[in-house]
Amino acid sequence: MSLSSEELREEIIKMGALVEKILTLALDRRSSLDEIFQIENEVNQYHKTIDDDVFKYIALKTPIARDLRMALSVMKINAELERMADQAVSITHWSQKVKGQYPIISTMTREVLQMVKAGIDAFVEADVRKATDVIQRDQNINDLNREVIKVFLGRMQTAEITFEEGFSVIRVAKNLERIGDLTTNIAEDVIFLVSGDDIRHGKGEKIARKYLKGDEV
Amino acid sequence: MTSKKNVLEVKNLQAWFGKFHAVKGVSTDYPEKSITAIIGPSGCGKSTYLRCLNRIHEEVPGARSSGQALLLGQDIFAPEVDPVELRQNIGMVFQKPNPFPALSIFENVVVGLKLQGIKNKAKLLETAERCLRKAALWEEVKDKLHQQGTSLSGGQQQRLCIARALAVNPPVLLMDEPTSALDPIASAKIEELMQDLKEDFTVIVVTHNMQQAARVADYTSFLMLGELVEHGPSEIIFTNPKQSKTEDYITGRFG
Repeated sequence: MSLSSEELREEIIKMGALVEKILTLALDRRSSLDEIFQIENEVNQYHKTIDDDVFKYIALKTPIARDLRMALSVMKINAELERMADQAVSITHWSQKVKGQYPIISTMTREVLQMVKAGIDAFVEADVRKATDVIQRDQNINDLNREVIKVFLGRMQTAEITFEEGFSVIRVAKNLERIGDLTTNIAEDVIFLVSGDDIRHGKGEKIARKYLKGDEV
Repeated sequence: MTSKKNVLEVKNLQAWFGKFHAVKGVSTDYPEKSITAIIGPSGCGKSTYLRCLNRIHEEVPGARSSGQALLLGQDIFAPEVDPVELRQNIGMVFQKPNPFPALSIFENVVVGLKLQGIKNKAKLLETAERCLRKAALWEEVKDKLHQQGTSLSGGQQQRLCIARALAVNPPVLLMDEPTSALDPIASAKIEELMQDLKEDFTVIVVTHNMQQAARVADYTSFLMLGELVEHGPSEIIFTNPKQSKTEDYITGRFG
């Protein structure tokens, strides 16, 4: 017996909640690497189970139209979420080496967490406007990442901070930036799920603008 | 795809059974060398629509139709058109295989030619072999051409009926749920055959099997309550249809 398309959707929602949890814990820097690994392991199990469920769903139900788009989106979002959990592990690893408190990293963390929540919400609510909004937020994260690299390279060069400190901060920022990219992918998958439009790789900017303006599509 | 010429152009086709309006103004073009699937809930008028296209609908007492269907530019409903002759140009394969029970396999295939007055045995044999090959049946029956058509299995009988329809070389072949009475292997053979047939014929097939429509048809029409809700390339209809009614139907949410 395979799951229904609605049940596949619910599985992703549960996995999304778990990924939100691992990111929140990783970013508040109070959890040990072991604790983070434990949740990551759970996410990995979800990853395999959901892939297997989608595989069976396609084989047994031969879905078409919106059911097929749901199956494909679930499979893609599943992969994005699993990679986000990997980033959480990496963030924990590098942030443990960071001694100082840096407002730009706090800002980036807050932005990324909001973005992830909004991305998962866009999927739950099948809301293309929310998804488009998520995609637009990514630019800000990218800008912050560039800023971190610039500022911390400078501080390392002037020996204001140690090399290890600077490098670790840059790695954390890079992980955050990567989570932004993965969330953008989820938002793009949501747009595909709802509308069938493939807006990846810039081709769909016009469509994205249309969603933001709230035009009929 | 769009550069193909249309073999059949249906314009505002309507059909009634007495007062019941079964087909409500359907217009569709059928390009050469293409397969179009017609899907829709039971009773939506798709078989009636198909039966209008070779004018067997009007044989039902109290049934009538209006509109145009241009076969290679000529309206099949024009007064000068003889429905019997028309059916040699627009062949039909039915849901249940219906070989003529008293006739042999060979006679079943050539019956249309015989009715046209062709008696040349060599010509009849040549046509029978060509059509049975085209219907992917020749290898299975070449040694028993004089056995009764009804001695064959269901799938073979259906291919025999296809061979019979092909014998008169119709530009258009209509199929009304041609695989619904067949097992998956026999169905797969018919589907494969349809792909071969579209090299020479324009095929219009009514089916309840969404996967079949998606697999075999270049275009798909969705009919509901006698109206054409959506018509388009199958790759659009089955991935991202424009009408929510179409999507609800094909994904099994109603119907």
